This record gives sequence, structure tokens and C-alpha cells, in this order.
Amino acid sequence: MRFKREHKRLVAAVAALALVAAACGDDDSDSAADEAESAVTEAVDEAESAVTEAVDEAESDTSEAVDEAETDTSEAMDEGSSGDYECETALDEDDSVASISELDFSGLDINVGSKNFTEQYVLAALAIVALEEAGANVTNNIDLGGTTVNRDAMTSGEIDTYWEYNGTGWTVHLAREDPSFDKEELTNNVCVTDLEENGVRWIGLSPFNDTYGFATAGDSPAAGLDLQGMMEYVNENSDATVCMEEEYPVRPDGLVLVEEATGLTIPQSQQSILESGVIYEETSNGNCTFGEIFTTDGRIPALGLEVVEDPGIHILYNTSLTMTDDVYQEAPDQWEALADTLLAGLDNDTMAELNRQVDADGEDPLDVARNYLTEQGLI
Amino acid sequence: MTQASTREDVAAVDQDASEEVPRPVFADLDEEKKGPIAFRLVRTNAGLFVTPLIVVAGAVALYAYYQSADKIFQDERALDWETQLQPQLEQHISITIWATVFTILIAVPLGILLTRPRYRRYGSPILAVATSGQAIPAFGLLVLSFAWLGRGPWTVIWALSLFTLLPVLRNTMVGLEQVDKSVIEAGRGMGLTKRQTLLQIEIPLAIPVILAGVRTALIITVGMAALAYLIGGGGLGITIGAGLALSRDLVLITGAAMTALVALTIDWVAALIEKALRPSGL
Repeated sequence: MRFKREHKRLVAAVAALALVAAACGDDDSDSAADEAESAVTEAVDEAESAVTEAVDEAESDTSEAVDEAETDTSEAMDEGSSGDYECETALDEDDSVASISELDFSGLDINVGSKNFTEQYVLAALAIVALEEAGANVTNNIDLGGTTVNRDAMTSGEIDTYWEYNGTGWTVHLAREDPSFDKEELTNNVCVTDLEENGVRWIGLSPFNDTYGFATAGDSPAAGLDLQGMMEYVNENSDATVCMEEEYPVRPDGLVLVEEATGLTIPQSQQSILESGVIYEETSNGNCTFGEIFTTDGRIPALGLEVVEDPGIHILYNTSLTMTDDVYQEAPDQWEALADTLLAGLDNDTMAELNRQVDADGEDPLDVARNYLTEQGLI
Repeated sequence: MTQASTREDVAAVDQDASEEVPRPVFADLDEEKKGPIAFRLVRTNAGLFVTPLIVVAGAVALYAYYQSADKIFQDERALDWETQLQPQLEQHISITIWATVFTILIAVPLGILLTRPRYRRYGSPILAVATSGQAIPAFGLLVLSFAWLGRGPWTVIWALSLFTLLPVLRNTMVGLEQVDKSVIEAGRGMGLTKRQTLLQIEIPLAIPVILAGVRTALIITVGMAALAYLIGGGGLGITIGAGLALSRDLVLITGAAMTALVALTIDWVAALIEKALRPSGL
């Protein structure tokens, strides 16, 4: 301790001496200061001129670059009417091939997911069977989960692709309103926006539209109506019931669209909330006059239900293959061809029939897919 | 009630006893509680005030949560009071009450019957049936009932009364069996018939246990009635199911919280009834 205190005193003394010396030294260094001053001024002048030169150069470089970029952009814009020609081309051209053997996915590891209902199982199975025939190493993730699960898995890279619906893409994933009622326009809007905002590609466009609808039993007195006729029938006949699942009456793409389009509502006492699957059976045996159904469900042909005609009230749900841009770029032409080929023959009736084979006949989706592709002469 | 008849009987039998019949010892207990009647009521029933406070606090908190949350279209439609929540609430309570009424009407007489000496041997098999009614998952029971009886609230009511048969039946049987045999003997000794013994001694003494079973049944029923909507029975399950299907926490929590508040309220009403029916000597 003592030693340290002495040490400190020593340092303080030296510091004091240095200060005194510096103070005294000021008087002797006027000339040195002047010299220093002039040197600094020179240096500053030099630096100034150098900077000005550099700035001028940079300016000219930038304006050159800007001009170049401008020409590039206008060229690109001319090539595509909405500024993103890639989506338009994908939808307008039919890249389908006559046989899966013309496709080549060899060497690629592809993970296919699907949502948790029959149609999704069948669509995913079609992709899986075709990809395997084309040489890919496919991982089967059918029945991965709901919409959110699949979307998140795809964007995070856990799966490579799954089939998504344009209506869902627009209203749920892109959180936009007022979807178009033209299927090409809607899919193109979704495709362009999703690519810009999320780097996600939409490939192909299905003829079928799996949307909300209503059905009656085939022999019902209320058969053969359209949605306007249905609402009028319900309001005129107090014993007519409309059975719906718990989601449909409260969704923005649900009952409210029908109410707004027809100007009528269903009286509370005539509404019955049922579990989704039960509705088909109950409609078929007449316990529900009208049942809320999905327009490509297999139970429609299986139970002989008549779908109420929809002049374009419910939002469109056509399907496309969705994947991140990275996955797409691995084989862009092949993906386009695959999607177009698989979707070519899938109209509402065909899709419902494939669904029926799974739901009513109890067949495995992969078998149904293989049979369909064989029948179509694709494998 | 019990005291009066005993006194009369005593008086009738002991004709030449002194005119003033001694008051039974336990009559003094009530007098020992001092203070005006209002204070006495609050003091002895303090526990009964807690539940309504919790229910009111819960309802206020739920309302505040609803008001403060960001609501999208689906939320507004699903939680509309007039078209959704109010009818569902009424359906839910209606299903619960009817199911419990049927349970009581079936289980209590059955329980009484099965504790009579003549029918005691049928106790085990019938209890086994009641146990299986509860062992089957409620959803399975609802679906089976739907297959037999079609859709609608009455199917749910029958299914739920079968489901909650066990607690009420077993409690009835246990409640009757745990009545002190000496009290029954005393009653018989005083000249009561078997039926009078049953009605005036055994059942009143068994009521606390029976009502405990009924309260259990009520709570189970309120919870299970949330599944009624799957087979067209309505109820608050519609809101819960919609919240799940739409992935909207606000809707889900509101439906579940309202069901819980209904359960608490119904249990409280049952506690009041239990208080009223409990014989004053106990």
C-alpha cells in the first residue's frame, strides 16, 4: 500500500513538471506554429481540389448508370403489359405434354405437401406419381395440415410445393379484398403480387373451381334452382332448412356474399349448424332442404346431390402449384409443363369423380392418381 | 319438519307425560347465533357470495377484452349478440337443464330402488351400464345418438343424460346407504312405515350427497353441451368451433369463457337449491 502511494506521488510530480515545461515551451514555438499553419492550409487546398475532381467524376458515372437503367426498365416494361411478363406467360401458354416421360426431374429431391381434405390428397398424389415417373426423388407429405401449416412449410423450405387456391391466396395469404371473378385475372394478380412480395410462384390454373355452394337432394322439390331462387324458396317455405358448417355463416367469403347478392337473408329458425361431413348425408335424405357443400366434393356424385346454380357469387377457388422461386428455378420449364399437364383434364365433374373414388369407394389417393394418369395415357 | 312430527308422535304416545314437551336439545343451536337476521344470513352463507362475484368479474373482463381487441369481419359476425351469442346461450342452458332433469328423473328413483333390499342384487349390472355411459367419449356418444335419433337438441339431451347418469346414480345409492342405520331404526321404532322412513328420514339425510352428484352432473353437462352443435344441437359450441375453424382467438376465447361462466352460474344456482333443500337439522 505504502509503495503504491509513493508511486502515485511520483507520477503526479512528473505530470506537473511536464505541464510546466509545456507552458514554458509555448513562447519558443511561435515560428514552428506558423510553419505548421501554412502546411495545413496547403494540405487542405489540395484535398479540396481532389474532392471536387472525384465528385465530378462520380456525378458523370452516376448519370450514365441511371440512363442505362432507364432504358433497361422501359425495355422490360414493354415486353410485359403489367410489368411482370413471367406470370402472364405461364398462364397463357399451354405447356402440357402428351406423356410424363417427356418430363425430366431426375436428380431433384422434391417434397410435396397437402392440406387435410380429400381433394388435396388427390392433387398431391397426382404430383407425386408424375414426379416419380419423371425421375425425381419424392418425399410424400400428404395431409400435412391446414392452409397455414402448408403455406408456412413451403415458404420456410420444409416442403417444396403444394397446391393452393387462388381465392385463398388473394384473401388469406395476401390479405387483399375484392378478388376478381375472372379466374385468369385473379390467378395472374395473385401470381404477380405473391412473386413480388413473397418470392412465391403460382404455376398452372385448374379448370375446376372448388368453392362454396349449396345442394339439394336429387329428388327434392327444391332442385334445379339458382342461388336467388334458393333464397326466395327458403323465405317462402318456413319448413325449409338450410344446413351449414360453423365457419360459413361468419366468413367474409361465405353467407354474406349470397345475402348481399340476392338481397335476402335466411331466417335464424331455418338455419342449422352441423358438422361439415354430416351435411351431405342430411341433405341427401331430405332432413336439410339445402346443405352448404363444396362444389367438387366426392359425395355430390356419390349421393346424387343437385348443386344449386351459382351465377358467380362465391369467390373462385381454382388451384395452382405453389413453390418458392428457388424451387421453381431448379427446373422452370419442367414445372410449367407438369402443372399444365396434370390440370388439363380436371374440370368440376372429373375432380368430383376422383374425390368420390377416395371418399365413397375408400380407395387410396395414390392409387386413384395412378389410375387416372394411366387412363389419360400420361404414364 | 322432522322435529315437529317427532314431537307430535312423542306427545301422542306419552299421553300422561307432562304437558310441556321438552324441546329437543339441538333446537338451541340456532339461537346461539347472535345478531340481526341479515347478518346471520350473510355470515352463514358467505361462501355463496363468492361465485356470483367471480362470474360478474369474469363477464366484465370478457367484455373489456372484446372491446379492446382488433376485430375483423369474421369476429363481428361470429360474436353478434342477437343472431349468434344470445340464441346459442339460450340453447346451451336449455340443453343443460333438460339433460340434468332427465338424469335426475331416471337416476334418483333408480338409485332408491337399487338400495331397497329386494332389488339390491341388480345394483352391480345397472351401475356397470351407467359407468359405460360415461366411459364412452362424449363425442362418440353424440355421434351414436345421432345415428339412432337424428340431429337436433333433443338427441343431444338424451345423449347427455345417459352420459351423466353415473354420478347421480352412484351418489344416490351411496347417499342412501350411508344414512345411519340407528336413525332408521329409531324411525321404525316410532311407528313410521317403510315408506315414511324413506321419505322422511332416508331421503332428507341423503340429499346432500345426492345433490353433490347432481352438481357434478351439471358441470359435466355444461361442458359437453359445447359439442352439441356438431349434430345440429346449437349451443355455445358453435362459437368455439367457429373460432377454431377461422383461427380467431377472440372468437374462440369468447365462446370458451362464456361456457365457463355458464358453468359457474349453474353450479351456483345448484348450490342455492342445495342450501334450500338441506334439512335444517344437519
